[in-house]
Amino acid sequence: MTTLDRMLQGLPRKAQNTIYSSFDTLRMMGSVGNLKVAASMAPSAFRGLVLGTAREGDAVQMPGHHAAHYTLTYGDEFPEMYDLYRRAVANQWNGDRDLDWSIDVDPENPETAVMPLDYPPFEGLEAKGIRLNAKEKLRFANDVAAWTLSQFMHGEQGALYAAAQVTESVQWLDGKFYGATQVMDEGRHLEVFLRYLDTKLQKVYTINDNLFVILDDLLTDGRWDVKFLGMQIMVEGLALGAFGTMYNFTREPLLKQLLKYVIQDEARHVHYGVLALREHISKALSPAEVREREDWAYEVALLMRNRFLSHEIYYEWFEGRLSLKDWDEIILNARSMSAFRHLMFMRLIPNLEYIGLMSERIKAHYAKAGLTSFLGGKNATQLSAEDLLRDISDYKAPPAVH
Amino acid sequence: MFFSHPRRITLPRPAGSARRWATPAAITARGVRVTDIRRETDDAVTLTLATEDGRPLPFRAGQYLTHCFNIDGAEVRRAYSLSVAEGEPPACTVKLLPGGLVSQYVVTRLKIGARYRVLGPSGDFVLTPGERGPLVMLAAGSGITPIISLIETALRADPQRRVRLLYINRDPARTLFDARLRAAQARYPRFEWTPWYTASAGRPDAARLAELLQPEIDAQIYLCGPQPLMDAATAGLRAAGVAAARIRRERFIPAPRHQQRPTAPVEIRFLRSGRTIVQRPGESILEAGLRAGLALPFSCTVGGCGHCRVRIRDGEVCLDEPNCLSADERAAGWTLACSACALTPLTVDA
Ligand code: FES
Ligand SMILES: [Fe+2]
Ligand SMILES: [Fe+2]
Repeated sequence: MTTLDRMLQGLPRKAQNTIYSSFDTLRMMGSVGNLKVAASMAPSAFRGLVLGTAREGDAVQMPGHHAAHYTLTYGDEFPEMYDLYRRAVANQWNGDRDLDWSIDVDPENPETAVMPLDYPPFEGLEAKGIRLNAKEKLRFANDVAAWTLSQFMHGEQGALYAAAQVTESVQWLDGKFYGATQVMDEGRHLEVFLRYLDTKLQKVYTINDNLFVILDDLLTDGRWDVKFLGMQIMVEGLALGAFGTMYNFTREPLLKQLLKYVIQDEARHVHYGVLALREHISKALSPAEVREREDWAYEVALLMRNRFLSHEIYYEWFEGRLSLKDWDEIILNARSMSAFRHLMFMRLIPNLEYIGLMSERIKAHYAKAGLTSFLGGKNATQLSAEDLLRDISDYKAPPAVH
Repeated sequence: MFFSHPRRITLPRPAGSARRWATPAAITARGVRVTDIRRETDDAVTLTLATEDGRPLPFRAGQYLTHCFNIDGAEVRRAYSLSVAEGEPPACTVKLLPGGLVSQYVVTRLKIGARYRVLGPSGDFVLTPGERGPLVMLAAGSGITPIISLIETALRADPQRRVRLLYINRDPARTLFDARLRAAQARYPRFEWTPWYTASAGRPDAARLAELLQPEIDAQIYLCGPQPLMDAATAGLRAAGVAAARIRRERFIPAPRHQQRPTAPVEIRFLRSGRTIVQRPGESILEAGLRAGLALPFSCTVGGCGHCRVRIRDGEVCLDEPNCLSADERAAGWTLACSACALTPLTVDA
């Protein structure tokens, strides 16, 4: 038993949770080993986790600190990027016309379940003494689906602004061309997720605190390559893992098609990020700067792995019946979580390797976190959208661990 | 040292941006799959349908579905009656019409497993709930499709009910549902079927029809066939003293021909809501209104049911013909929102 556990014992559940989540915030900051990284993230963490900025009001102002790179000579060709741009233009889809919105999503039909019942961690809950009846299970699975898709949507909003910022800052003209298509892509992603939530699931959850911290951090960081790394590699990697997991298990045809389109776009976005960053990291950064990027990426990777624990669902369903700590444990061991982690890191690690953020020094850290098995995998430049979808469908999540 | 926040879990979105994406529930056609095709005669087939979403498609005997086929890239809609008893998987019978593009497609090209969409069910040619009296039916040709559904449904509910059918065809080879009618005869002693073949016996006139039908004093009468035949039967029955309220007719509206629609936007003012909506090129009045979120009634969308009837106060429309509007209705300024579009700025009482 840890000191924290001992402290919590005997306190009313509500007080236990308050203490646990406050310590958790501190732990999250403490788990970021690199002080410089911790310092750069601190304002966002403070706004997101301590002040709970994303939990009230209608909007948050996020001041940007980046500079627009205005070209005067229209030089700087980057043929691979130009290629990607042409491909992006050719593959634009129309979120209204190309999806069958007349499909009626029936939350009670298991044949077309948005989230089939074998995915939510019912066994984990039962082990902690929470039994849901058949009706509740169905409702719970639908809520988890709405929560997940809500987070996708919030992420897409962040992606939209980050893509716009990155398009301003990027130095290659061909990168700006490309960036413009990504802005359009992210706008469309935001549109289709919102439309799906509003018209099909009719439930939208607030942005998760930890997701808010990451997005806030990225959007307010003035260094374009950190923005780039954060958005195009880390958050896009996260998105691919999460979209892929959902794509794999959903049986709802409209959502499946929607995710397929989105995944194809995201594959291009990562490809672009990888091209730009490899060039930049190998040519423009000092060894110290590279080290800092490496640490930053590592911290964000762990955050992404450990922090998306759907606390909103906990508060909606189990506050008072289960401790937040037990909930975190259940979620971390859930089958869908391991699928998500697998799909995310399978893509992320080779990309970090390819752009030059995987020195022997940082590899040791990834090894400790059990993530080195993905080294040597295919990076974004070697994968077509079809390869990516195939890899996703081929992956079968192992049964839950308890 | 501990902060506590008001915890917001879900976002309130009262009609938020969902509004602009809302498809009025009823115009959303449902996806169906053809699970069986049964050849009834040389020129008629029955399509059994299953919904794509697996949920039931409840219908009442005597109703029809509007079938939206995609034929060579164009969407065409046709109303075909359900020809099975209530509670069975939905099935519609389609008879080949000379020169009928859609019936041709259904009878000769449609395969098991084909997917398309349906609207409805629609129609008021149904049994009156609670009514137990005798039923007298007149069907001619493919007019039997809603009638067989009514007969089987009524008899299943009450095997002792008195039900009589006069079924007119050119010759015996054209008889639809011969086996089902025989089975009903064998099973229900109070069901009576009188076949009539015009090839040998000629067309019965009004008086003859009244004589053949000879409804009991408390009978409900159902007529389904070509307009002149139903007119003759109605005239004969009325002359024999049968109250108009006891006679129900299912109008079989041949496929409407689409009028040339305006190629520029036209404004429509809907008086009841006070809203002015721009009808886009190609849209019907109904489509324009629904797109803007007005709650306009409709059912079949092909000019057959009259549910979408609206009165024109000002302006000019073009209306697809033929349709179910009577001469009186037309004279009084009614049109069908589903089958009409505004040619000039329009004001409608809807
Ligand atoms: S909706 Fe049936 S006639 Fe217009
Ligand atoms: Fe996106
Ligand atoms: Fe993206």
